[in-house]
Amino acid sequence: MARRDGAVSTTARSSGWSAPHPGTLVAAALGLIYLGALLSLLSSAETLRPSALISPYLLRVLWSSLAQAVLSTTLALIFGGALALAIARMRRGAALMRALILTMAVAPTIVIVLGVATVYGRAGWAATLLGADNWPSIYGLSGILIAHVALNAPFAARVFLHALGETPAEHHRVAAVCGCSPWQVFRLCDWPALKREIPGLATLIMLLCFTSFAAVITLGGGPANATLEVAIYEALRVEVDFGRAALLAILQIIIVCVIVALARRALSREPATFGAGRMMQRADAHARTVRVGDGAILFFFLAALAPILVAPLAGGASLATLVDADIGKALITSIMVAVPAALLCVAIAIALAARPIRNRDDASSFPLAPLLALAVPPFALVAGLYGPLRRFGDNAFLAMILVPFINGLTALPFAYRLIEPALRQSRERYGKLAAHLDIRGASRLRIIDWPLLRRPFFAAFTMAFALSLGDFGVAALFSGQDFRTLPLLLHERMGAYRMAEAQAIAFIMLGLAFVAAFVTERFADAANR
Amino acid sequence: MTLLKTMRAALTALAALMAPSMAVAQDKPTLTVYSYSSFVGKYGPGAKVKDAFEKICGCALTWVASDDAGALLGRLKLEGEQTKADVVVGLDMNLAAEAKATGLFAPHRLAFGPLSLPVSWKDDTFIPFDWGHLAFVYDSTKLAAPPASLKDLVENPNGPKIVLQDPRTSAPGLGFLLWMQSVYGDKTGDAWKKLKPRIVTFTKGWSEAYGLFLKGEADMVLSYATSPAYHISVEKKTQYKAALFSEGHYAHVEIAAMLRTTKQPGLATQFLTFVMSDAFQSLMPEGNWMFPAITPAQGLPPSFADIIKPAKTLLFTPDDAREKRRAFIDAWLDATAR
Repeated sequence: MARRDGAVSTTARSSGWSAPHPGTLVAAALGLIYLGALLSLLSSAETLRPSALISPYLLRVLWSSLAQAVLSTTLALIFGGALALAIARMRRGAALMRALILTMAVAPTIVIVLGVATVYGRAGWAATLLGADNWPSIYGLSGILIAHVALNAPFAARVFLHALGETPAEHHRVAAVCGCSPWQVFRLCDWPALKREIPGLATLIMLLCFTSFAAVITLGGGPANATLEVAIYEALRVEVDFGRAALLAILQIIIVCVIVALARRALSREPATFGAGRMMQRADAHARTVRVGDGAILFFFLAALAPILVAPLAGGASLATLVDADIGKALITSIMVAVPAALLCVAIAIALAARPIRNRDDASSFPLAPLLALAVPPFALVAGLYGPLRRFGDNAFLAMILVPFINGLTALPFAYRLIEPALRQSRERYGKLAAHLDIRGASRLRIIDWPLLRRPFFAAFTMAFALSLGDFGVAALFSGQDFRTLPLLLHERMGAYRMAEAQAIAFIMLGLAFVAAFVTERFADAANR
Repeated sequence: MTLLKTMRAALTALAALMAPSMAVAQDKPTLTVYSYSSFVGKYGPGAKVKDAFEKICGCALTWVASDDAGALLGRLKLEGEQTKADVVVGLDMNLAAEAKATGLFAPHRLAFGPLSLPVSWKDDTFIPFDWGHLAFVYDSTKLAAPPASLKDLVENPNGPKIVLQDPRTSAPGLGFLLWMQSVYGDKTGDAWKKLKPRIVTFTKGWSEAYGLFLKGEADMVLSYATSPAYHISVEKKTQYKAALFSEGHYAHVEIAAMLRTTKQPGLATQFLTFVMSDAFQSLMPEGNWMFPAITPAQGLPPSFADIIKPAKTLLFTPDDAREKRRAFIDAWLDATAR
């Protein structure tokens, strides 16, 4: 039976052993790092009592987290898919919308949480607009769902958009010639593309919602709706009990592994067909009913979800008076941390995704390595790594190395989810050709994969950049006079009662993310002309 | 390639920028003080404390900031004996027992005069530098008749909506949990169940809760009795007030200590003495928005004139708090997580 990616070159076969792909080495290194961090945490613990972990509350929390995660994922996927289709059919302003949804996907959690409260809360815009006296409380499952959809549907839409864009042009031409109705176009052209992305996306979003923390605490209304992350946070910050934190992190990893294993078995994916040319126009571009539906979806998005981003704009109004040297320095530090983090993240994602598939079950879609970042909270990872690395330098130096590294790892699941489809497609289309011509390694990336990879590469870079900009937990461990990032500054100002300034900083962070997203979208677009 | 070159240039530039500050510090001895970010930040007392101390010590003071008291202790635990900290300013009393258990702190050997604390203080390792009562803050233009006691707040089914902090992630949140326990004792579970319908949410930290309150999401927020002083002094708004409860209020005391592993024990002791002096204490009211541990000779600023003065102060000792915390939190979870 021929291997899926074609023949291995003859020199390798004759020597009986081929050098491991860099991707495999990277995956092994990641696994070792996480293992090392956990062991370091466990070893610095005074007492370990695994039995003390399992309590009726914990079991209840696990169950409610799972239920909430499944609901959030379903809603995010449905809305993300609808949004992607609507944007794919847009004639003008698509780049702007794409930048907007990318910004939504990377907004710092505190911005989203306060944004949801500002828009949907008791005294929020929606309540004032609709003049409701007994406005239903969003502090419960509804608030969590809104926040999770606001965070994840845009990301899902971005992934779906790429998949829709890579649908073979021939399919649409044939559909147009045959006079297919919009529903048939969806069923024949779009649905297969979307279906291929759903398993990976569903796993990622479900794990994100399962381990979600700040949104769930504040918008959840109480401990009934909390997740396991809260317990880990409590162990690390309030009880300062590293052993307990490590045990809880291990429990979380086990759950993540179980979910991933189940996903692998339950969901399969058929290989993609591919066409010769890029799509110039979709088959349903002229259908009026569909345009109305699209308009409704876009309106719903702009009216219901985008305002959450607009809430910090109130801080932007007084931006000029509030900006000072602190903010400027923090901005520079933030950028200097975010750029290496993004580069590292994208490099690891490419290395992992470029691994050749050895067997038929397409396991590269559900690798564990990128998802480990979700199971082990960044704080626990830093706590574990800090010990061995401490002797190599002082705080600021360590900060400039560790913070980008951890931020890169944290953004890895997203970057991987964006980059993997492109490399998978390239492998399916050109894998045999590349093997035939014996183009491997860096040349293969440059010559063969890059055209398909270009857009997701920039999207992943922007995403990792913006996620690092908004990171708070990791940078907080190293904060000091000579290391301050924008989110740290935001929390500092909030702690000093300066809410307006905190909003101004949130506005700057979002603005930066939006500009980065917009610029890279235009850049990627221009390259396609 | 150009990207790498630019990055390398930028990193070298950053290192070059940092070098002069490091060079200056080497002329005089350096005292490294760990604290939390809002203390050290632009609007906190950190800069003024640094100036005042450097005048009298002939040294250079470097601040290192963590996110909050819990993160501060976590960082110290991580760094262990290799920590570069000489003094820590800003732990709170609830963490005192954990902090002592790390074995990193040295006894202060200071003798100081009478403290202006509402509780008596006997500790050879930690010194208190400021304090405040926890209290519910409300907007007097929107809430005309606040509850007059904790029992009133808990038992009135038509009472105001409140926003609290999660005791597992926030110091004032934990303080309120201990407050409920002091007042209700064994019946705390029932009290939580009665209060639950009026709790809008439990936030991760004080900032989110206060932010939500200012946005109008709740009628009252658990904060400090001294919070109104900020609004009066800086924003010139007098409508924010703290509600006075007849059973008494729980106290939040912030503490400082020197490290056992410090390489500057003389400077560290001098700093701790400075902390108890008027020069430092007078910066606490409008710098950190808390009461000073020793009222300075010039008294308190006018914004502090109307701060509520509870008749009784409630406080668990640090060891008590540490022992019973798990049980208290489990009881709270039982009552609220349904």
